[in-house]
Amino acid sequence: MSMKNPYVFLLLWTMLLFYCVETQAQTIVIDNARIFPMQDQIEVEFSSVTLENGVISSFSNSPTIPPNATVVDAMGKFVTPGLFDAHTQLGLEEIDAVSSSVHSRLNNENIGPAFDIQYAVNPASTLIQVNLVEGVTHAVVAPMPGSDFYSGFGAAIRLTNVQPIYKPRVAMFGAINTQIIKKAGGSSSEVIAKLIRTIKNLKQLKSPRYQPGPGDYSKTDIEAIDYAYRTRLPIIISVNQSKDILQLIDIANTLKLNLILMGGAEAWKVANKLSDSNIPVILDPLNNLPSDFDQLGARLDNSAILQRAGVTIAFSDPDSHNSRRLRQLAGNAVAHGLPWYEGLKAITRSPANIYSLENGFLKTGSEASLVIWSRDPLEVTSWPERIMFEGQWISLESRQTALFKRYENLSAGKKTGFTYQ
Amino acid sequence: MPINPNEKDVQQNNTQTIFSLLTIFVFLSMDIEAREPYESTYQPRITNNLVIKNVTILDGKGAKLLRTDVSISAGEITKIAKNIVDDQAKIIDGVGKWLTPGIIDVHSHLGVYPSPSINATSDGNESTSPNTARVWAEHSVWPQDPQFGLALAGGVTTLQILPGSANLFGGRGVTLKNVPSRTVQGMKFPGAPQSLKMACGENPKRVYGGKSKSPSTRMGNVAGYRAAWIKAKEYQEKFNNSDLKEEDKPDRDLTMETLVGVLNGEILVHNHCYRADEMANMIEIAREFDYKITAFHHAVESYKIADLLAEQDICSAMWVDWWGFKLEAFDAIQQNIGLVDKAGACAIVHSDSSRDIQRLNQEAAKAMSAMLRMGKTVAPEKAITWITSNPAKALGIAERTGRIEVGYAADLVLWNSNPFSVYSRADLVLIDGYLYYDRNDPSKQPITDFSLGQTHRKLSQ
Repeated sequence: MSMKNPYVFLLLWTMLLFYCVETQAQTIVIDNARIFPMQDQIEVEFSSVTLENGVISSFSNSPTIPPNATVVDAMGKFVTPGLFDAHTQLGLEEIDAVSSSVHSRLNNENIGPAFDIQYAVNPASTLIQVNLVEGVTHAVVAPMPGSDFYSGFGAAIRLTNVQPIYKPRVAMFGAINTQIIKKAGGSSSEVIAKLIRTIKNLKQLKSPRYQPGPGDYSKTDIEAIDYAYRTRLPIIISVNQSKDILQLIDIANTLKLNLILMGGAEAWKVANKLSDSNIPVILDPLNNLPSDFDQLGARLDNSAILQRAGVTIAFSDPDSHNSRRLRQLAGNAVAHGLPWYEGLKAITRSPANIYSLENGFLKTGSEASLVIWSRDPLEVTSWPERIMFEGQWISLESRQTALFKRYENLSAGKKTGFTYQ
Repeated sequence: MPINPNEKDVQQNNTQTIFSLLTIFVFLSMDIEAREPYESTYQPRITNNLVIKNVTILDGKGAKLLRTDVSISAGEITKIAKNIVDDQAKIIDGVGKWLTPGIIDVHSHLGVYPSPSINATSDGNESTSPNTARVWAEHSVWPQDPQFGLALAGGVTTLQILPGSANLFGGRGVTLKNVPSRTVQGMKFPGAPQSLKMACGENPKRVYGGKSKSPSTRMGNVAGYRAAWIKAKEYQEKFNNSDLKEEDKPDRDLTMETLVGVLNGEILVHNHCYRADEMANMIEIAREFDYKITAFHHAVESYKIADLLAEQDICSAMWVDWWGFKLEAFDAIQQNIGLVDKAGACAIVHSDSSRDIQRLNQEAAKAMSAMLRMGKTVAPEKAITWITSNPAKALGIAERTGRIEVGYAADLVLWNSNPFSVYSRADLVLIDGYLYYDRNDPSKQPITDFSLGQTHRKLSQ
């Protein structure tokens, strides 16, 4: 093991820090940095942040450095909050093809709104570990769409292997897609009509006289729909086609739903309406394929058009295994017209605003989850140099780095770590 | 013929003979179709001479040249030097820009799994038998797939279209030039060899095991390949046996023709295979039947046998960060491509995705960075080979394209900045020296018939 290996150095440094934290109050000043706290409504940058026992005490451009503080010279590098993936199945799946390892959906056609994924989130998931060491510190975990318009409740998680969920029932999820339209009888019109009927008739459906027949929402389903409606829970609907989006905007306004769109491949066509109705959009900015008749209008500058119109946007990678690709998604959105700061916001602060959560930004009084990046965090040639998670520097080791270490010397003709033929 | 023809008969015979001779003469001079069935009809479009001036070049051969000029004439690169003077040429200013060979994707299903993705267009897997070596992916290609134009905007000038991986033997793949065409023959890369798509691992055994057929296990997979190669060897022997009379020779058999093509070295084997141990098994099979594996695809575990792959001269086509969708993809690491390259083996970045094909430069950038992060240097001029000259080698077209070198096809991409940046965009894309894509000229952004008239579809902003 060479001392030139940054990971040996980091490991020793982390061990030293850990020892210090154990024995005395610790002040850390990260200085000479480009720190983006992602504060609400204002675009601001600081060159230093001071932390007391991992809690942010101040931001400054000319800090006073206490005598026994540890100074981390960031050498001009970018520091951002840990990244926030607005829509994932992190913790709910290991291997897509191994159904016993996938807990994000139900095969039961009778369950929709009442499905709640919070009891299945696996803290030991390799997906959590692999993405944490790439700077993703928080996420919302959602059920996958089933056959009903409603998919069920999701939860907000910290990417940690001890009790990741910090807000269960953070939102209700739903979708309009081919399978759901088929279950409703074959027309999206019936999906929309049923939604309107259900919300309008909630009072009757909640009464003891309601006797659900085959195909009707069960009493548990009604309870779930009512809970979401009553508490004005964010309702995240996966939908792409502009005709369906327009219907949902209308419903959101008349029935007063806290609506957020997911996917929204054709959302750019109705950007002004979304802006006027304060409806955010969570999207994959790289989706530009006319892969189905509900998204013939998919284009790479979707997010730029939406943001310019005043729509709140957040990004999500369709593959939770690669939640770490968030930065590449944002960088490409910027390459196609989105301002850089808005790109960073879409993978940090915006999810927090959409779900009313306290992560994805840095503020005084809170434990810091932040990343020091090797260069511009939206660049594909950038990586996390150091990650602080809830006030503690963390190891950047994962299963994948362990595999790398086992085989890295093969190319130099040396035997591998274990004795393999 | 009568011994004593009378005058009239003689006259008639003479007329017939003259008429026949005339017909043959006319027929020959029309020069109809010396072209074999299915052969490429692609013709390069010829334009004026071009000189791209003062550009930073990554030449695909491992070199980076600063502020250098490239001249193009009759579709070929004719000179690479500083201060080229050519008064006849159209000058393209390359100051601040980068020039690379056109990007080559060795693993694509554009056209056979097009957009829109519906049953009617789902033509990539003839999953009705484990051995469909008889089918050719080119016969499923829909040239009007909108995805072709999107890939062009990402700098892809050549791509291999393969059957899917449901079968042990999926069928023949085809190498295409990424040009607008009404027919697939108009896209076929002239003279490029065809390939045979093979697949090991989970897919075939899941597809057929699920139907209670063989193969349903990995050992069933291997028995399946070996049985097919045994038949192919027999067929090849009979066909080549000059002692056999014509009527005793075997009938034409499309499956055998493909497999024998591999045994004869004319068709290149491209083998989807994730796991290191399975790749080793496939190498053993190739040794048993004396054929060459040209490339492993989705070679997630190549880093574990990089030494073996270097020794066998087998290319590995890999992703940088896809993992975990199947157990055989669980051990993926981002340094896979870099480690294979460091071991001296042929390393390729492929997409197998109509999404990621648009940004293979970024995929290569991530692979390069993954190595740098671990303290292993990889220069950009090396990383570019993973998406240019190495794929060209795997496709058997390394003498024609994939490099910026005098005499090579002018398949080129002019980037507005370092292509290994997320912000970089392809400004110009040339194929055989013809400008097929210009980011700043909407009239030079080909869209296929499917997208025509759908006014909300723009290829680029």
